[in-house]
Parts: sequence; C-alpha cells; structure tokens
Amino acid sequence: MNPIIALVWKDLSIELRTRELVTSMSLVAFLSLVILGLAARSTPPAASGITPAALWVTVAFAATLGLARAHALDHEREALQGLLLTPVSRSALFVAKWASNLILVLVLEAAVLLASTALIDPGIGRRASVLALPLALGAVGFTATGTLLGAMTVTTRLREVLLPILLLPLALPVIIVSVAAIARALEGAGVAALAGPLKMLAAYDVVFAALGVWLFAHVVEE
Amino acid sequence: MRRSPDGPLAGALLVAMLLALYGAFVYAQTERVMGDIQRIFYVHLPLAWVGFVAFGHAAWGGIRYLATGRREWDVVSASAAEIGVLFATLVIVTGSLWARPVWGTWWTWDPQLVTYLILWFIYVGYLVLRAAAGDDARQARFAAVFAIAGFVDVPLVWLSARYLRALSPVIFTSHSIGLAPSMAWALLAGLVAWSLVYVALVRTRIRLGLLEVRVQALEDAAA
Amino acid sequence: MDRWPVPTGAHDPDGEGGARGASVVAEDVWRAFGRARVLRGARLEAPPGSGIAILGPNGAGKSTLLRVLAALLRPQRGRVWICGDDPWTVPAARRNVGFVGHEPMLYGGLSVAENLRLFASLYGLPDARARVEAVCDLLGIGRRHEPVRRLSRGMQQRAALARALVHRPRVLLLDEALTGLDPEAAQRLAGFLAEFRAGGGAVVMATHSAAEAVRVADRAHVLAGGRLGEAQPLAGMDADAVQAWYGWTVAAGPGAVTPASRAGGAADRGPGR
Repeated sequence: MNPIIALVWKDLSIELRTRELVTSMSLVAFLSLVILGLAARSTPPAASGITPAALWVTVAFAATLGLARAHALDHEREALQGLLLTPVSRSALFVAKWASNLILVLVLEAAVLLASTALIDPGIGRRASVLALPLALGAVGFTATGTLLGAMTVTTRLREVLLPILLLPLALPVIIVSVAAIARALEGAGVAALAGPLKMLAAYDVVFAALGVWLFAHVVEE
Repeated sequence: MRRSPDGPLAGALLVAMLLALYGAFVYAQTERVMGDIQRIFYVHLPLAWVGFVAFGHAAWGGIRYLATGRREWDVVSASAAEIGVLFATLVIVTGSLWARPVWGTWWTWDPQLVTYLILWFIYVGYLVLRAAAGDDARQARFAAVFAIAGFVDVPLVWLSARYLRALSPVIFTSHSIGLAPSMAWALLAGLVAWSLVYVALVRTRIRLGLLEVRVQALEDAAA
Repeated sequence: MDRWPVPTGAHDPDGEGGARGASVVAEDVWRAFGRARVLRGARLEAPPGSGIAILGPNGAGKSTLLRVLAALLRPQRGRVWICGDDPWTVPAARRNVGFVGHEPMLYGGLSVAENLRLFASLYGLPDARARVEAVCDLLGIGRRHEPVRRLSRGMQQRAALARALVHRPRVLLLDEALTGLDPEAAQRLAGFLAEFRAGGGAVVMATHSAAEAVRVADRAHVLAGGRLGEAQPLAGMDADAVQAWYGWTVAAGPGAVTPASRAGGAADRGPGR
C-alpha cells in the first residue's frame, strides 16, 4: 500500500473505532452554537448578521481542540518515533497527517452546518451547496497550518494551550475571507460571484501546503 | 582591530532623528482636514514599514538557522522578532492615538491596523512558543519554522484585511493621502530615522544574545 | 516456517560502503540537550555478526546514543553510518535498522497486526501480510488482533520487537530490552539474538546489567559522563568479571586504562597499554 494512504487509513481506523475526536469536536461545536444562538436571541436584530461568524468561530475553536488531540495521539507510546524510523519522507508524513486532519474537520463542518441550520439560521441549509465551498477551502488551509503547528505545539510545555495561540492568528486570513464569502453566499450570491474570495482561499491553501511540505522535517526530527 | 560602527551609527541616528522631528513638527505643512494630529503619521507609517522589515529579518534568520544549524542565526531571528513586536505595539498605539481625535474612537478596523493587530498576535505567539519550546535546539527549530510561517502570512493577512474593507459598509480610513512635497520629505526622514533606530536596537539585542551564547559555552566548558 | 529474520538477499550484504563494511559506525558523535552534553565524541563500530553491549548507569546517555544510531536524533557533530550509508542523506539506509526503545512506538488504538502492516507498507515490503504473520508467529504473539493498548507491558514490548524486525533489518538496536522480561522470555530473546547474529546481523544493546551484557554481547563499551569507552572483548569473561571491569571503568572514567586482563584475562585493546 502507498505509505500516505496507509498512514491516513491508520488515523481513520483509530478514529472509527474510538470516535473520540469527532465526538468531542462536535460536542464543543454544538455547545458553542447553543451559546451563540442564545446570545443572538437576546438581541434579535443582530441574529442574522452573526451567522457567518458563528460558523467559523465554532469550527475554528472545535477544530483546534481536535487537531491538538489528533497530534497528541501520535505521541502516545512514541508512535511517531516509530514512523520516523522508517525511510518514508517527512513531507509524506505531513501530507498524510494533513489529509487525516482535513477529513476530521470536514466531518466537523458538516455537523456544524446541520446544527447551525437548526439552531441559528435556517438559511444556512438552503444555501449549503454554495456555503460548502468557502467552508471547505478554508478547512484545507486551516488544517495545513494546524498540522504544521500542531506537530510542534504537542511537544512543548504548554501543549494544547499553545496551538490556538499560534494557529488562530496565522489562520485569520482564511477565517476573514471565508466568513466574508459565506456572508455573500447567504445574501444569495452564486459560486461565480465568489470567485475572488475563493481564489484567495486557494492561494492560502497552496502557500501553507508548500510550507508544511518544506518545513515538517524540521518540526518532527530532533 | 576593526573599528566598531557604533560611533558613526549613533551619530547618524542622532542627526536623522533630529531631522525627522524637525520634518514632522515644523517642516511638513499642516494637513488641511485633520490638522496637527496628522503629524503622528510621520512616526506611525515608518514604524509600520520598519516593522515589516523586522519580521522579514526574523524569517531570514530562521531560514539561515534551518540551513546551517548555527545558534547565531537563532539569535538574529529572536532579536529581530522581539524588536518587531515592539514596533508593532508602537504602530497600534500610534494608530489608536491618531484615531481617537480624528474619528472619535480608539480603534478603527482600518486594514493597516487590522494587519498590525494580527501580526502582533502572531509574533507575541512566537515569543510564547520560544518560552515553551524546551531545550535550546528545539526552541531554535520551532522558532525558525514559526518565524518563516509568520512572515509568509504577512501578505495574506494584508490582502484579507483589505478585502474586509472592500466589503464592509463601515467608513474606513486610508493612509494614502495625497502627499505634498514637504510631507513626503518628512516621511522619508522619519523612515530613515526609524530604520536606524531598528538597526541600533537589533544590533544591541543580537550582541546581547551572542554574549549569552558565549557565556553558556564558557560555563559548559568549565563544567 | 520463517526463520529468524536475517538478511535474505533483500539487501546487498556488503553494502556499497567498501571501507565502511560494518553494519553500524558512529564517528565522533556529539549530542547535547540544551545545556547538558549527553554524548561527547562517541565512537563505535559494529561489524556484521557482532553483539555489542553499551554498559552505563541510568542517565549516562545510553538511550541517546541508541537514538543517534537509529537516526532518530541527529548528531550535532560527527556522523553515523548504517551499512555504509548516512541515514540522514540516504533515507533508504533506515531499512537496515530495527530499534526497540522503552516505549513500543506503536499505536495503542490499532492491533499488533494492523500496526505491523502499517510499518510494512512504510518500509515498502511487497509481502506485507505474510511477513506480519510470520513475525508474529516467530515471536509468539498470539493476541495479534487486539488493540495494543489492551496488551500487557511485556506483550507490548514483544510487539515492539516485531515492529523492529518486520522489515528484515541487518542491525538491531535494543534499549534495555531484557530488563523487565520474565526469565523465560529473556532466555528466548537471548536465543533469538544469537540466531540473528549468526545470520550476519549486528546487535547493539544498551543495559546497566553486566549479566545481560555477557548473555547477549561479545564485546562491551562503558558509557559514563557522556564518554564512551573503548570496546572490551567479553570472550572468557563471566558476569562477575564484567561487573568488576564495568565498576572500575565507571569509577575511573571511560577512556582510562582498563585492568580488564587482571579482571578477566581478556586481551585489552585500550590505548595507553
């Protein structure tokens, strides 16, 4: 089997068995949406305005927690050291971990779309096919950055606390642009009208994928 | 013995700073709409530009460290990032001081200020990462990787902040004011003066860092 | 039935190294962690078929040395050669190394068989499935379809050995591998290692026990204070003699002249004699 596929399959089969990442991420996301929904209820005129931001605030924080945990799993029993013993290139290790993390976050985003349709704004469900694009492209860049940084922060003294401190500011361009695109999609813009922000998201994705492929060896090798 | 450039640097800095102050407070004509308040611009904008340079310098130190593994480059990277955080803080403070009398608010979501706020978070994160990384070699590696990622992020942050402005109904301010020649000269003087401040600070900080490395090496040799 | 995993044509037994015909060579290896210099100029050579014990007290840097040899830690000075190649520039050299550390380096959520299949594909083995079964049979791992986290510590350790052997390495690096095993399991492992060496494999084992060194190795180095002593042939020495030599060397500092001939009658090849 191709090493990258074998590595992704490894992450997914662990997750399929325990479901601990998806469950905990979705619960955090659900709680966040409930809090945002309740807060919006108390100021009704603002309610519709918060929808795009609510999606990304929820996804960003829940995904950060999930990524930190996903990287911690690699350090139990020093499993990652076992991978580093093999001749597999460190860039391939990055791509595999990124793919696993991306799949996790896409699942999370699907759950968030469903829950926010029910809790925040029924408009989300109606526009889901257009919304999904900026949300997914955002997830690509977010997880590329998160994979590079998560592999670093998991070995530091602050562990899980450090990842959001580093990841959220670096990924802010993704969040800003994706939120803006989602807002326009909710106003009824089609995919064609979103070409500008989607291109910016794609540019971010490419840049941070390249950085990860280039720098991952320096992150994991002692 | 090589002659230290400290003396000439200090002299040039003194002259440039006096010129910049003269340019900002006397020479440049008063801006018509904002009045004297606008003079903070001759400090704010050079600080912002030199701040970018500092973050680029930190990334360069990171790239060199990863390529060579020499502690000296880590010192360069850390020094540049620290001074960069100082400059970014000053950019945000001067921006606020400017915004308060002109727009009646301490904070505007102006793209340049937003960019600097995000950069401030990124490089404060860099300092936290250094403190939390563990042993020296790992600290240097992680810091180098993050300095590179942070600097690559700068244009993306800037583009996204501008994109935000293009969308938002809030009235945003632009710093691209049509500059009278006297204003342009004052700005140039400010740029030179603040660049020299950066050079002086970063040189001192690097020297301090290198001394720390040497003291450690001597202690280890004695142990 | 599969024999003990020895080089079987999958790799060129002589490598391309020519002059570096040994399976593992460490050349003047230095490694520090922060302020602590853990290794100061370690030199070591393990020819095919040799068994080398690294004797040292706890915290002497044995694990660090083995991790450097396994190319998990990059030496800050000096180089490591695996079958003639530098693993940091020739990743394929990593195929020749198997490493068992204190932790099993396996995923707790996967079974032994799944873990081994993962590693088999990372090493690019063509016969992954059959190979995994063979290694499990060889090491007597019965509960190979249960998650690793549910296995006892001893069984996890055995699974780690399976991971280290699945790709038919020519060098086996063991960090305190006999420690904590019950006598029967230790006996079996020692037998395996002898067979592995007989097939041309090299074994490097870190231990703090002279008895284990005698059991597994034909020569020993003492590691203390970051310095690795010269190789001491163990032929003709019993555990007590090795213990005496080890105690003396730690006290005097590795690199000092060893009174090995007095202690055990073996030829001393140390400098200064």
